[in-house]
Amino acid sequence: MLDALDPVLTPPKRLAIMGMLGAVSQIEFAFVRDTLELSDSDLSKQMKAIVDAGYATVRKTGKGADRQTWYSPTKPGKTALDRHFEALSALANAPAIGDAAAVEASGAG
Amino acid sequence: METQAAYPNLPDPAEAAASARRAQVLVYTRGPATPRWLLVATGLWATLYTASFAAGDWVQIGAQLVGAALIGAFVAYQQKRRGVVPSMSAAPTPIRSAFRLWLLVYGLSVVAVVVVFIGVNWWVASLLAGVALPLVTWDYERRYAIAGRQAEAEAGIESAAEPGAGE
Repeated sequence: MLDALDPVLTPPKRLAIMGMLGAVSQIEFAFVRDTLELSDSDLSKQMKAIVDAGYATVRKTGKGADRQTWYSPTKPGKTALDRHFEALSALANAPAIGDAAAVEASGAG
Repeated sequence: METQAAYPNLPDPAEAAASARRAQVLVYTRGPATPRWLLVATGLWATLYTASFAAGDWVQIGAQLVGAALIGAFVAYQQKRRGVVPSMSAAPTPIRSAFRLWLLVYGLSVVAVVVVFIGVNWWVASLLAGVALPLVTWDYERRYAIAGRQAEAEAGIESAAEPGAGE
């Protein structure tokens, strides 16, 4: 059951960011940072993981003080988010995470 | 065992999903307020745009180009200012309902202006457009704010200070 979870989206901050990306056609770095109250460096790190996974594309606009960094979700990113939500829902409805892991471990062993 | 090793700090799944859902709602409800000059600008725009149809062909073409350019410029300005372009298809139900109602009322207003333009005269239609568009915009802003608060409450977001995301 845990295998259905996407390791890229397992960290809660990254899942929240991907949740936002799933509801937009594009979103700017500062909006995500201010809304989720993240630091620049933390958000940059999370966004890099999301972009590297192919779940979002990045586009920079403007120059100097007007510079903005926009992210757009990709189709694989939206699919991964939907699947991750489904897996979380299945896990939430399971007896307990520990029990689910134990069942899986015993099945694998 | 391999699975457990891959997720050493697995968060509570229900809370993780709820936190991400809250972040999704914030896309629609957070950001700077619509500028106050928008209502006046929409009224002027609608009046002049409607009146241009009573002028000659070249004035009409020019007015339509300028009118479209102004709308494009405002959309670009608002997107840059807000920092997000939400997708209405993924919007929470109360917000989607407010948007659909705006589309309906806006469409009916356009039909009413066209009927008055053809059946009465151009300047009455222009005045009607200049009053109707700001009213429709004001009503949409009001309904959107109410829908936003409802969507936040349904997602479990208690205040503007609530960040919406987990640690």
